[in-house]
Amino acid sequence: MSGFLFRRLRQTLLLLFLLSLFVFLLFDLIPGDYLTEMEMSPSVSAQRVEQLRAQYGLDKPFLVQYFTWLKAVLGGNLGYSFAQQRPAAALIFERLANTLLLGTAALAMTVLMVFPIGIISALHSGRWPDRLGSAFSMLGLSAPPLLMALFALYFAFASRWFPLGGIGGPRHWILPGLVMALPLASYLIRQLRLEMIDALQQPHVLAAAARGLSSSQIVRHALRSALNPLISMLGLVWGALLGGSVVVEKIFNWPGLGLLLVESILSRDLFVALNAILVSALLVIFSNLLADLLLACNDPRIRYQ
Amino acid sequence: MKTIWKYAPWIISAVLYLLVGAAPFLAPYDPQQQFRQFPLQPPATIQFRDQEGERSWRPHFRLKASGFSPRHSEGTRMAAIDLWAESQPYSWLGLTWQARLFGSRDPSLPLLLLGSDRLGRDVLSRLLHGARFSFTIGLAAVLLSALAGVFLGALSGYLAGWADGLMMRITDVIFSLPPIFVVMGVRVLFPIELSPSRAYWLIALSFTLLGFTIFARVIRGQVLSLKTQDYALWAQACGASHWWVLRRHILPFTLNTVLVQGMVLLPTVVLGEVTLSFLGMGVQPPDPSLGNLIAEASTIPVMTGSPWMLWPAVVLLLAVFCFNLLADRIKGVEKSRRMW
Repeated sequence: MSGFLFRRLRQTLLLLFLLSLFVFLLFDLIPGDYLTEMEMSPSVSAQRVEQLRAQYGLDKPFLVQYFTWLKAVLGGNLGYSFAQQRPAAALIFERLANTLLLGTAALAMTVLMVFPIGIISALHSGRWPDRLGSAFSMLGLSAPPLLMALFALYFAFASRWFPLGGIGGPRHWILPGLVMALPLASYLIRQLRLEMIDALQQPHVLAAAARGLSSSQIVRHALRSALNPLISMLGLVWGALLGGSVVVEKIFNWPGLGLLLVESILSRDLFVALNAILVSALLVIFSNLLADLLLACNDPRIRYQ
Repeated sequence: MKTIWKYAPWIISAVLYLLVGAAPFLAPYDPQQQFRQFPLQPPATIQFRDQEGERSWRPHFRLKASGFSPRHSEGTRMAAIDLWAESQPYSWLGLTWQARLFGSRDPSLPLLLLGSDRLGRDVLSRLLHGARFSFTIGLAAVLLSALAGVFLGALSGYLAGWADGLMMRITDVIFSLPPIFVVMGVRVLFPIELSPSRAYWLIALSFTLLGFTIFARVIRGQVLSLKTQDYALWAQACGASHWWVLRRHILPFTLNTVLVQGMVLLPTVVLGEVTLSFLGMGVQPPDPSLGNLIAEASTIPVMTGSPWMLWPAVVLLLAVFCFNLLADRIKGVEKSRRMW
């Protein structure tokens, strides 16, 4: 186990290093730095600009600047939001909490949809419950989330059962959560169905059936082996949820990370935009790591590869 | 009947691309032309009766007076529809044209087949031009991704070693981010206001940055196994150059995969561009894209008051559904796919 853990951690660290380099490269690629504007002003002398540039380390080579930046980021300093006049870190983590709330609601809805539909489809494969499940997942996968969100907004307006957006009690979570959950759930339903059909034909499940176990017990036996690929997909889940959150948060005016990203890009608030991307990438990378560790706990074969 | 159903996604996709390709000729007006007396005009109704109510072989259209145009509030007005109607000169297929496929005979009464938007612009014309932008950007990004991805993937699989390692780590980084975040990250580097052609290539290239990783990974895996095939090794033993072995004995076998991956990628890229423009980071408002057309229609007052503005959403739905069906057909088997 420790060998596996070590290898996996080494991979993650390498990935983190490359990712931070990538984000810093983006910062560096933006034309001009923070003193370019000052250079053009007639009231600031050229020496003063040079002095400031040396003071802030902007005359140093790329790698030195990179490590200075990395040290600041590791210390929790993500720069300053010029649009909102406050430190970027506070802003980003406040919005991240909102997105995590919505994401968790969406995840709960996903689980509630995936297990019943996936298992029933597999048990009745080829018959009408399966057809219905397939149609559902086909619809969820090919309907663009953008249009689903717009439809949900219209539905909220027409039925008057749900608020039209914003953050608040559980009633505010339902529609945006559902729109985020549907593509994900459709994808996972397909996977679970295929895995369950496979698992139900395994010898140990047949043996359990032959001994006369009740169908719920048989499902439990099959589910354990069908679950592995799904656990490894848990890593994908947060990536998909975060990606989906951009559009959903924009349409439902949910003050989360996705909306923050959109606002900051449109108002050229660069620290916030790039660091929001960095933070969400960290979230995805760590959920991938967590998924792999969970998988290794559930399936001993993986540890000794 | 079964045959029609079998080929329906192909036919509809081809028709969609032909329609948007001919958009300048098919659209009755310029996408930015305003008819200031006709804002938020409901779609025209077509009938085969002329102004006097007589039956006529020539189609006529009737515009209801909307509440916003007091000057024309005296009921409905009618005009004949002309085929090959004269218009302002515009360029299409490298030629300058003076006519469009159809238009209104009465210059004071515009032919608003799908109604008009808040600024009195023809929704059909904007829809055709916007879809042209969105659909061709998908095609361009997929082609560029395929070129770059096959080249880099083949190289990294064939050479192996540190170049391969570096390549795979780069794709790892791009994979670890939600796709839309990568595109937005690239978008940060450039000003929000861009000319349409610059926005076009910027978006196409940023989707290429995403798409090439998918091609590169799959092709690399195939090349890794194909290069150890007996015929490839034999060719090398006979003194064939690396380039020859790649071109002659390895790459032809990856063609099928390239096609499948391309078809899977197409709807994703089209949708991605629409999403980006919807968020205000794609092509900028006076120029239409499916995304910013949908954005204009995405408020409750517009959805309930002038639902004809939602036609772009319908077209998007149809296109994405068709492209997805097509990809499923081509794949044959259900494989994993990336999500937005």
